[in-house]
Amino acid sequence: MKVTFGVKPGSLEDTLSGIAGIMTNVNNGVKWATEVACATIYEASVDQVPKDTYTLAESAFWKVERRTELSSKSYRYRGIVGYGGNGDPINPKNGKHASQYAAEVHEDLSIHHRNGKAKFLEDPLREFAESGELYKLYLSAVKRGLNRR
Amino acid sequence: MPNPLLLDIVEYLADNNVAIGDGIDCFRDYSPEDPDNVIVLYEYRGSASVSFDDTTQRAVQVTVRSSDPDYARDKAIEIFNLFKVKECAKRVDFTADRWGQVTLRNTPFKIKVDENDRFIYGFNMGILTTIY
Repeated sequence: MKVTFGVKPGSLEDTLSGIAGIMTNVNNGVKWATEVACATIYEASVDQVPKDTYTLAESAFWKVERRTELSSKSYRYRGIVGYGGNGDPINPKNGKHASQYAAEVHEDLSIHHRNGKAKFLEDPLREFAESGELYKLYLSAVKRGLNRR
Repeated sequence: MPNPLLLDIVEYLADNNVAIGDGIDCFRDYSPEDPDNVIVLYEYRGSASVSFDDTTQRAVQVTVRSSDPDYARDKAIEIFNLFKVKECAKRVDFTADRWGQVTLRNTPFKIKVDENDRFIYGFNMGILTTIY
């Protein structure tokens, strides 16, 4: 993505401060977009997850975290939508924690579920990305960041 | 009407001596109780096609079941590697009538152990091919 923006010329300090402010706004916008994306995928996924005992649905979570593996100054964000959170509840039927069987339920296409389906996380993620909504979301976040003063 | 995608994949596996054939050791969208050692292919979702083209992105899961976990894992890896080579080449000629572009979405992993203590390994891939 190419981003073009203008800064009113002034002293070097003012110019650098202006650029830093714009970058902060863009970074905040990207974080906001990542949160919206995670929340959207999370909601669609919880709709689709099999709900025999509701254990998996109760263990669904999303979070956004800054990626600081390479630099403490990095403003790259990672969004995670998953199952096995919220204390990793135990299924009353099989005695297993949600994290112990979530992947199996997600990948096992041979099982017919009364409510919900396999691929309950992959499908919403791909649908969201393929619809173009993810791209639009980040574009609007960057625009918002650039336009804010 | 052309063959279904999964049947073309079965033929491709048989041509490459990875499977014997459809309904023998290789099944489509159906996992029989017998025999223990089977390859099962599932097509689980597609994407919307565009009006000016009859190709689309389709999703296929390849699974291998066996009472021997090493056999199930090794066979899954063998099939994975067959497509991995072709992924680099960007094109797989499944049959004389079908070609596609394969994207391997993950390496083979253990999906589950079924109620008869048979191990199931599998992986997912996306295939850009015709809608048929």
